[in-house]
Amino acid sequence: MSKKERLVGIIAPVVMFITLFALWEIVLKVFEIPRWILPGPLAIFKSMFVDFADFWPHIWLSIITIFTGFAIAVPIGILLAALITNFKLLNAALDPYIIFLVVTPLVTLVPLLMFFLGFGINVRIIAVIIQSFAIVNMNSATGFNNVERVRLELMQSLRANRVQAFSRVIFPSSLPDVFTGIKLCGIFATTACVSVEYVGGNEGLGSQIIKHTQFMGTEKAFACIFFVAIIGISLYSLISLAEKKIIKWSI
Amino acid sequence: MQEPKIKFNNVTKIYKTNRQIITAVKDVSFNISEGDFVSLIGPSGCGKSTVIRLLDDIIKPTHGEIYIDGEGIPKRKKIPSEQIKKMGFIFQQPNLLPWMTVRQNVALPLRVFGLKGEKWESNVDRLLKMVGLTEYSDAYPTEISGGMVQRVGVIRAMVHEPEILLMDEPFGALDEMTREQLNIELLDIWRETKKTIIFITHNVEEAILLSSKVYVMGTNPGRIVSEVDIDLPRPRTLDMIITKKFIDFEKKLTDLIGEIDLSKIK
Repeated sequence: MSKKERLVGIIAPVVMFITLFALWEIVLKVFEIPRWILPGPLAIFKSMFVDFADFWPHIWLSIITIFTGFAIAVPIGILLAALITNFKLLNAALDPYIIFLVVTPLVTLVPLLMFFLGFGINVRIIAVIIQSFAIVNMNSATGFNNVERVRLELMQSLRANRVQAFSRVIFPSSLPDVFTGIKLCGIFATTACVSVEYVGGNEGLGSQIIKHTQFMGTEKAFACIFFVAIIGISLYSLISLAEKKIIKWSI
Repeated sequence: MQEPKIKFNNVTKIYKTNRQIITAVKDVSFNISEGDFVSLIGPSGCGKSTVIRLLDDIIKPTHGEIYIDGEGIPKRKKIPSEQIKKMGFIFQQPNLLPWMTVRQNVALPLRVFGLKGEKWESNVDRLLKMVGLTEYSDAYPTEISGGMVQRVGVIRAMVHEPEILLMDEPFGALDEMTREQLNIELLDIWRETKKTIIFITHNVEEAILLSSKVYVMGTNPGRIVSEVDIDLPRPRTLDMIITKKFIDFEKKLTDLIGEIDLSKIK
C-alpha cells in the first residue's frame, strides 16, 4: 500500500463520520424532531462525557463479560475443533449439537439460565461462551479439514505423528480460517453480552439501554449504544491487528 | 546377485469409492539396484505418482509386497522409522511451508525425525551452500524465485541423509532453462552422493538425460508396459541431446508412449 492510499484509508472514514453526524443534526433541526424521541449526536457525545461516571461501572462490567467470555470461548472452540477433526466418532456425535448452538438465538435460553443460576456476572459470561465458542469451532474445523493434501503427504513422508502433523502443518495452514472464526466470535460475544443484559439484572450496558429508554432518557440510551459500539470495534480491531502480525505469509 | 535396493513384487493399488472401483496400478514389479537413477514416464493417470507414494508409505498397496534392502514394508502397520528415514520425497509443487524461512523448511525433517546435534545442523548449511542459497536462508518462500523454491524442496528431502530420493515431477512447473539447469545440478548431486533415485516425469528428453533406465507406464489400469536401458556415457551433458544415440532413444520412447495413447483410443 502506498502512503497516499494509507492516508486516504484514514481520512475517508473520518470525513464520512463527520458528514453523517452533520446530516443527522441538520435533519433534526429541519424537521424539528423533539430531543426525547431522537437526540442529536452532539447531545449524545455530551452525555457520554458528562455522565461518564454513572456509565463507567456498567461499561466495565460489559467489558469484563465480553472479554472473559471471548477469552474462554476461543480456546474451547479451537480445542474442540482439533479433537473432532482428529476423531471421526467424536465429530459424528457432536456435529449436530454445535450447529444447534450456532443457529439457536441465545436469548431463548437466557431466562432459563438465569432461573437455574441467578443473575450474576457468571451467568452472563457463561451465556457469552455458549453463544460464541461454536462459531470459532465451526470455522476452525473447516480450516483443519481443508489443508492441502500435499502438505499432509509431506508430513506422512516424514512419518509425523498426529501431534506433529497438527502443530507443524494443520494448525498454521488453517490460521486464516481460525481467525475468521475468532473475529466472528468477538462479534457474537458482544451481541450475546448485550442480549443477556437486556433480559435480566440491572448491570451492564444492555440493562442501561433498557432502563434509559423506558424513562425517556433517549440521549443516555444512545450513549450506551455508542459505548457498546466502541467496545465491539475495539475488540474487532485488536483481533485484526493480531491476525496481521501472525499471518504475514498470506498477504 | 546383489540384493536390489528397492523391489516391487506384483503391487496393485485399487481405490474403491461409492460409485466405482479404480485400479490405480496393477501388478507392478521391478527391481532397482543401489545407486541407480531410474525414471518412470507415462501419460497422466498411469499411476506413476502412485508408485512412489506406495514406496514412501503415503498409501498402502491392496496386493503385493514392497521391499527396501530386502525388508518388506509392513502391510497394515505404519512403516518403521528406520525405513522411512532411508527415503526423501520431493514434491511436484515445491510444497514449502510459507510460514517458515528457507532454513526452517530445510530443517523440517530433522525436527520431525528428532535428529538433533551439530552434525545435522551443519548438514542444513552445507546443503544450502551446495545449491547457492546460503544468503537466502532467512528469506521466506514467497520472497524467492520459483527455481530457488524448488531447490529448497530438493535439499529438504536430503537433509536427513536418505539413501533413496523419490522425485514426483519435481521440475515440471519450471521454465525450460531453469529445468535444464536443475537437471544438471541433480546429476552432480547424484554423482557425488551415490543415492538411488526414482524420478517421475512426462518429459522424454529429461528422462533420457538423467536416467540409467526408463520404465514406460500405461493407463487403464496403470502398469509398466516396457523398460528401456539408457546406455549413454556418464557424465551426461546437455550437448548430448543432439547426438544420434540420444535422438534414437527419444524416438523409441516417444513411439512407446504413442502406442499407449493409441490403444486408449481403440
